[in-house]
Amino acid sequence: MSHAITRSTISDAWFASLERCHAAPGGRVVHLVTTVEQPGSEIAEVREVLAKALADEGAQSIDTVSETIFPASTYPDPGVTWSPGRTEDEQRLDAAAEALYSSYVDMLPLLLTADGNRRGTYFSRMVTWPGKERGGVNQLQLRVDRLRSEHRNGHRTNNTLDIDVAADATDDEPLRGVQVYAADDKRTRSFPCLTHVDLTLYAGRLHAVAVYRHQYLIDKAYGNLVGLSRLMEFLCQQSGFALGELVVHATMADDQRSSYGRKVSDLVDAAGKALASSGVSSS
Amino acid sequence: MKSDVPSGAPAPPPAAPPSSSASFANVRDRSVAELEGDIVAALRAAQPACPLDQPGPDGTPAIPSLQAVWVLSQVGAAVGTAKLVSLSRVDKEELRTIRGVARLVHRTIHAPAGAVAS
Repeated sequence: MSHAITRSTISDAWFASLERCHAAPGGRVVHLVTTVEQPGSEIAEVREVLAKALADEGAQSIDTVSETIFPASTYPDPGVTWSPGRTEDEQRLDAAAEALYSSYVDMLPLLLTADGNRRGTYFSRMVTWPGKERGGVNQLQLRVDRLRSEHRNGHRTNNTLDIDVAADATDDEPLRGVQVYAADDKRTRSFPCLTHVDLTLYAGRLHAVAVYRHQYLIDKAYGNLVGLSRLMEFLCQQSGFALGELVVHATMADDQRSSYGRKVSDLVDAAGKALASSGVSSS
Repeated sequence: MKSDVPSGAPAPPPAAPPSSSASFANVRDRSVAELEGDIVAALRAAQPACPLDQPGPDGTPAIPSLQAVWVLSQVGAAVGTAKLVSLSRVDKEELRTIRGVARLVHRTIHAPAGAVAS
């Protein structure tokens, strides 16, 4: 049975997802579809509750998780947005993007020495597919180039694009999405949870759907939402389109009670109180 | 981050090019304290988006762990090895502050030949 949640901010979307999952038998639900209407927006009080819970357990921080999807701390944001004909701004944006890509690729040999990274990271698969070394396909830049082309041609909606679930990074239709795992990957352990990021341009807004095989709602979900939001913001800044909605489809969502035990209930309570005190209604 | 209003202000300088490994050319001769300064200088020059204004538990600036990895990659380039350490064996607490990274670099650089960095 699928579950659909729609909220304005990352924080209340995350909380509603955790709350829904926690109420389910076994703490797991199939096909949890969470929509964030305003990607990037957060409620500080809720983030702080989760951040403390993660720190207490020695888990990765929210920002560390988010940087596996988009390494914002290495992106020298030039503070301008792309627009057709503004050559100087385009040059600055291109330089900033190149700095982002090259910094990351420089680090890649070292990043691959981390547990779980042997076959590449999410971001390395985006900028140098298949993701283990420099010189691969830069899917992100291909998307930027295509979006700019659409913008120059006055296209605000492209409803002729098929959304291919298993998009090939070398496909002739680079706007189909971003592949982050290989279809021939036969692993049964340490399999990448994020499998695909799909992009849709509609009425001048860029929307995204991220598909996760197994979404850990405490350790990863919030950081994933932040990272995906930053990825969308990057693409919008580089192409001049407005930010649309972010949808995360978790084919299996997990409240991680097997790891956290009763602390899950405590976290749900604390986050719910933080949300309530912020004045934002989670409904 | 986004702006749809043309700015009348003078354009800021273009993004600084990635720091060359020359920043750490003398890494073997540097103390931990000196390395802290070198690391901050390298980040300011080549990673302007890296926040350096929040103190960590040890009193030195807290940094994103990914920026710590970038520093390690630059030191590695300076000494001729792409994999200065194995991140799977590094205490992640050492990747959270300037001093943590400086200590990791110093210990790694001065480890006996053949020893695995940890």
